[in-house]
Amino acid sequence: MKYRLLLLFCSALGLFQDLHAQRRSLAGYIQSSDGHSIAGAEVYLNGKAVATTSAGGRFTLSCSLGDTLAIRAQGYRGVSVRLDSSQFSTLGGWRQYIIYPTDSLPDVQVSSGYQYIKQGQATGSYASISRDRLNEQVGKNILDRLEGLAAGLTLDKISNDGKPSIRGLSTIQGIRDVLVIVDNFPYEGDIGNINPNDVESITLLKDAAAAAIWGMKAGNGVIVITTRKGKLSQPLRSAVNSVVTLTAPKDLYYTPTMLPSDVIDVEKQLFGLGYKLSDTANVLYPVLSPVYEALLAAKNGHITQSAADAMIDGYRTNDLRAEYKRYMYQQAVHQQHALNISGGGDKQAWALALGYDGDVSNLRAIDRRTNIHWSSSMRPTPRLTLESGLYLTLANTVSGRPDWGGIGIYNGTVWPYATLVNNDGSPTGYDMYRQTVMDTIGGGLLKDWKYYPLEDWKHAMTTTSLTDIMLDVGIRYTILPGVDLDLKYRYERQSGNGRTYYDPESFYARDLVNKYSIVDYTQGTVSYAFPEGGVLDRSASLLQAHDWRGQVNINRQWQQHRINAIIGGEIRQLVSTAQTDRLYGYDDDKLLYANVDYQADSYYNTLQQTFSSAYNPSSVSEKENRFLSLYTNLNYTYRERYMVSFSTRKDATNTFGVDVNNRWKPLWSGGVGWEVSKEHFWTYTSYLRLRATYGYSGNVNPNIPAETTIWYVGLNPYTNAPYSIYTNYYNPDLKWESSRQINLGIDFSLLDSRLWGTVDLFWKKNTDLFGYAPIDYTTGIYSITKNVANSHGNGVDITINSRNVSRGTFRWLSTLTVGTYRDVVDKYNLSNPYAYNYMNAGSISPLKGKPVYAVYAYKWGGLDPTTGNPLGYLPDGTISQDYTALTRTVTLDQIQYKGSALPKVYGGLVQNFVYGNCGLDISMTFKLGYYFRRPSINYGSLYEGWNGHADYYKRWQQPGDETKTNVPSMQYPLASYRDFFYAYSDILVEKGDHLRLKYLNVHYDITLGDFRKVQVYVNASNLGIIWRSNRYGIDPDPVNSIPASPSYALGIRCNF
Amino acid sequence: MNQKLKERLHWVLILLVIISGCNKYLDQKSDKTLSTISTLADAQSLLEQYNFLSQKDVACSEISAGDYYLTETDLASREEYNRRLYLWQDDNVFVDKTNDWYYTYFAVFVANTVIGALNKIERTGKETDWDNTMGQAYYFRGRALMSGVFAWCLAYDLASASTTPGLPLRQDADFNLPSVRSTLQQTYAQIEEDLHKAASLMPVTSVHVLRPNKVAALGLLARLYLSMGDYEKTKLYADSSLLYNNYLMDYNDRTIITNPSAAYPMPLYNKEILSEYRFVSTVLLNTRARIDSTLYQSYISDDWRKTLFFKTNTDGSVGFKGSYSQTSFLNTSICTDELYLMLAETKVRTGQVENGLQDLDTLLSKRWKTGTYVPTDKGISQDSALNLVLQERRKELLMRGLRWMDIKRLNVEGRQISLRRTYNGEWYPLDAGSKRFAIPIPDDIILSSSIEQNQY
Repeated sequence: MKYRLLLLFCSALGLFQDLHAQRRSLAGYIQSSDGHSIAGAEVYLNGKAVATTSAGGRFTLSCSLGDTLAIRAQGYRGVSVRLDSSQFSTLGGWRQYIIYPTDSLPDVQVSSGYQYIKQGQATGSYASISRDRLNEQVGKNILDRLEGLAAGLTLDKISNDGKPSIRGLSTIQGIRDVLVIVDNFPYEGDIGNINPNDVESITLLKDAAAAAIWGMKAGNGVIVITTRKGKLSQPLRSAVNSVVTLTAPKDLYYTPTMLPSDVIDVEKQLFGLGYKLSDTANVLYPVLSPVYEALLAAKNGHITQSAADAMIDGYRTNDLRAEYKRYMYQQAVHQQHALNISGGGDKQAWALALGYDGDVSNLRAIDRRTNIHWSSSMRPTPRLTLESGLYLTLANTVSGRPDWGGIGIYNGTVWPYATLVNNDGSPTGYDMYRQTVMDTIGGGLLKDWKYYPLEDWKHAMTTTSLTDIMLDVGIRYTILPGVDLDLKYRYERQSGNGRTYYDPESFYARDLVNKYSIVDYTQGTVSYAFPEGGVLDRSASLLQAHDWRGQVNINRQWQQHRINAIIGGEIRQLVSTAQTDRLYGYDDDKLLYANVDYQADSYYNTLQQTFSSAYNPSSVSEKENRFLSLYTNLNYTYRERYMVSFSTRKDATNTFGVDVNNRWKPLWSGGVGWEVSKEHFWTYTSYLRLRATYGYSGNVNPNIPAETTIWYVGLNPYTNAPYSIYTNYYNPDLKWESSRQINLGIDFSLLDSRLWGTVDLFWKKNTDLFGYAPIDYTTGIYSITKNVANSHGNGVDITINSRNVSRGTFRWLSTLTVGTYRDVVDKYNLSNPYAYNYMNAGSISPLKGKPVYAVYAYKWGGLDPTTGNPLGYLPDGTISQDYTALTRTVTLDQIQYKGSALPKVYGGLVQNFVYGNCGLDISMTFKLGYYFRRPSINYGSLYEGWNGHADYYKRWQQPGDETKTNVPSMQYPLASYRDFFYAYSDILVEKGDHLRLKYLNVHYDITLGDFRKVQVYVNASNLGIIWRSNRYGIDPDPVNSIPASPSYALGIRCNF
Repeated sequence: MNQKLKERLHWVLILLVIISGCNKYLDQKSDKTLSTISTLADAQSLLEQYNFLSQKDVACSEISAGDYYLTETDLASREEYNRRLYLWQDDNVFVDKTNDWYYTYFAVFVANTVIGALNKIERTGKETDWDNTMGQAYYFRGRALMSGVFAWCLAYDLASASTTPGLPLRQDADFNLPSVRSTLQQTYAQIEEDLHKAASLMPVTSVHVLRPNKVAALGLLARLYLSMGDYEKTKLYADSSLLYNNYLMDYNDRTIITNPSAAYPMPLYNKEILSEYRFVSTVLLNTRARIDSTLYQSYISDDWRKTLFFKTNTDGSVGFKGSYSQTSFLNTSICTDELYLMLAETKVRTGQVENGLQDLDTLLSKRWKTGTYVPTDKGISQDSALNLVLQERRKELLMRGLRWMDIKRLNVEGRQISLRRTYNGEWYPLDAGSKRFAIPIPDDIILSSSIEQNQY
């Protein structure tokens, strides 16, 4: 930019008697462009500091004509002027110099959980998300809002259940969860408990220097949530937010599937081939589908073939999806109300946050949550601050209808032409054992033995309740100027109760009673060995966490030096207990229950004619984890521009096994920073800061100890002796995972601070990663978790904010965040290199030089023109139909590497438009550079589970089809390796790249006063994909599940 | 100077106290249900995994043997690896991981863990319990390897046993040690040693048949020696086992077999069982596995077994329902009836024909309807007597996981038992001399270890 010094001549002072040699005195004052006097600015004459401006911004000096006057002030562009005669006027008075601010970054203070750090003075890589940005979205869980808002953060739906992931993987088999801190300590409860309206900001600690302070738990990055607090001397403020969200039901037609009628035809064909017919004689009496029953009845001569065909044709028009849509799903309604009040006097500040969330899901499940959060800080004397907080969460849920796929009649599934409601409107009942057996057993004396999917959920309700109390106490005392002693304690207690009551009408309860009934066919009587009535399952859990922290904060500044340091220690104790129990023959009205015999083989199963025992799910558990930590973090700044930081931490735990010498594991990081734009030689107006850090962090999985451990499961019901199973195997070589990270960062601000942001480059090196290692199971173990792998990765995080347009009342702002991450396996100790082990989605691919999560595929050779069989290539290049050879003996390096299974580039673009009182926020997210497998027909699951993909219609049916299709012909008997080969062949691999419209937020603001404001907003989210690389309409994030339905919200936010 | 040193020492002491305090703080167990194997009770608790140690006996032997067949449609609907196993293919006859090999060696691993742990636990003061647990560990290891050697190795033949491949013999729970196949001689020696140790360490009775005892170990030794063709020892051990328990169920007794028409009429954990073992296979469910009709026809109608062991399918074929496990699990326990038959066979083989036939009579008189059993003619030749005993052995012990071993050992003495199966119009023969009587080791084992596959 071409900003230059502007000198305004209001008056000039200078008495010149001798034009050439005379010393003159110059008196001036310095003002900023927005009219403030600048105190403390340095005034230089010919490069030598000669004066500092007074409180009023004034200075005087003596000079000679031809001297160079320079002015330097913190945060402003330097001014340099040659003092020629034109600079002096004969009139007296103060001469005014106006200076302009340099480009700068917004002054953001971030919290590491141990201290507040000015982002501009830190060497580490932090990303901060403000309340305003978070408020552009609605919803219950604050973490769901993060995607696309911070560079380097993504919700990993492919390998980690949609949980947040920062800068890719630091582990393979270890704990992958990001550490979540609420205010000062890790939050042990479900983060979904936190009231989103109570969040002030979220900070991501990304590189080693930022995260190392959290030690061994920080290997996957840290998210620090800071809640809203009151401020000293702040008048009473309150904010209300009320929002109602509607979410459409799941789109059951998203996955293209075969029509029920065509599934029926396949069944008829299989029946003709005798498939599963031997099941008819199975004493477990597995259910046969209605089509099979009809065909069987005709085959056995009970009905005529035409009657059977008529029955079957009657099923053809049924479609379970339609029934589900009509009877199971409804519009989900979520409401959220929040009230925040805060205030503060001279010595005290406080805040109160109340929140309520009520949710009725698409399946009529109910979820309610109430939050009460009180926090206060007192300063009875200037040297003492007392802080306290109480965070209370009450939540309860009631279960609803079964989800799609939740009805299990045969092998956990049901035929697609099943109905929920009969023609007469009554709920359809299903036999859970073969119908012909059910028709005769018990001679009509038993209770109704059918399962009614439409109604049964009402008779088997699960309710849960949760109470979480978090109590914070803190004392900060200033011992010496700039030295504080900081003591903090948090107690968190989360108790949960669950209750599932199968009432006497539920299938579960009726089935138990009927199964164990004793039928006397000759007398025509029935007696029940098993208690009649309901079944009650109860569970209770209690988690208590204590955190003690003692810390010394040092903030000292002298001359050009500033030190900002903390030294402290922590003790952390986590005790969790849980128990479950069950009551049989339970009567919910009278609270009566019956005794059952848990001894082995105590009940005779009338149906299967075998003995079994009453299922006893009772369990008790008690765990206690203890941690001791010592840490320090030192930041030193010289001349406000050179920064050095160092932090180290030692953790010790009582987790099993890991060698005692390994108990105290030191982790450390260091960094340097340089604010280049503060240097004299920096003649540009833009802001520039460079950072570099290096650090070492660890990751320990407490579930992977080094010793052989066993777990006492219960009693052997036969010998009544304690029964245990292995939980871990002796492995003397087990080490902690460690991760080293280098980060280089640039912070910049340009164009009159209209464009600002940060760019971070990072390199990670992960060693001794725990990994899944299939081993020779002659050892008795078929896979172990051990230090198997080394990997390295690198990436770039870019955040660019811009004020694109600011004209009149119209403003257009945008924030682009881009994260890239690419990792490579350096080493993987593996005894089983065979490809078929690593083909599943979410399975790691242990091949050196390739990403940890990658998509590999068998090379496709087309379809055999005579049979429609898929063809593949053996490693020697010959084309083959030997599926055993093609799938079983081929190693990973002999098949095709298609690319990364996780996005290599991801991020978001948020744009804010404001015009007058109206505003529009649009957020888009994108994921690029990865691959997925497209689902297609799998004949095994079609035959076994009626699950037929619509690619069935494109299958090879006659010679010539091989030129039009790649879908193999239908085949019987089932060749599982043939299905496997096709499912993992390269024709089913697609690019995952896509761009998604994440949310739209329209708001109308009415400003009533200084801070009084009413905002009405409409929000739409999950709006779907705008662009995708695959041409099958598949949402690859993640594939194989129905995408979340759009949500629409209407809300009002008031501040007064 | 001295004063300063003292001061420093104080600090060092204080530091040590703090550090030891911290370490004590960290010594708290993190999970009460988790434990290292440090006591006798811990070791015993691993042996209580009855559903792995006693209920996952090798299934591939019975699937490969010839007392039953599958219809072609049933065979077509079976998994590919089971189809291949049924048709005696040379590879890919097991599912990965959760297969017979794994369960066999899981038992070996548990036993090795227990043996290793017990060797570090003081025996003094608790000799009885210590010996019992140690004996069980040897029993489970020997028992597992015995089923394994019957499946994956050729029959024992003294002449060639030291050159024939046996099984890998793992003696240590450390999974870092490689698995190497021993010779058949070494494998048998190991099983023999384990069972002898087991027999000497365990008490005569146990709390339940799911926990082994001395009598069962003696019985298993008889089974082992029979498979080796060592008839004197077979006789000796069958006899010593029967000394402790010679009980036979009377199939006429309706207080024992309460409902002959039940889906599984044989009583669970009955007193003939010395130590319970079983397995289940989807191939052998009695809805699919149809009993060889010649075998079925060999039972006369006065034989209770014809009613109690078999159910008739709608197509006239018969399925087996006589499992002592009273479910679709097939029972492979060492039982007194097997001991009687071993005794009878070895007595006949060693010239005590009459004596041997008497043992057979003792057994059969409990199987036939009261008053119908006619004792065997004691005057028949040794050969006829042996054939009779072998025929009765097959009839009594069908679907007990023994037929495969029997075919193999009988072929060693030249009985030329060949098997044939058909599928899709093709004949699949298994000739008496075939090396395929050693079932292929799971392919994923061959791929992930240095173990050599059986040669065909």
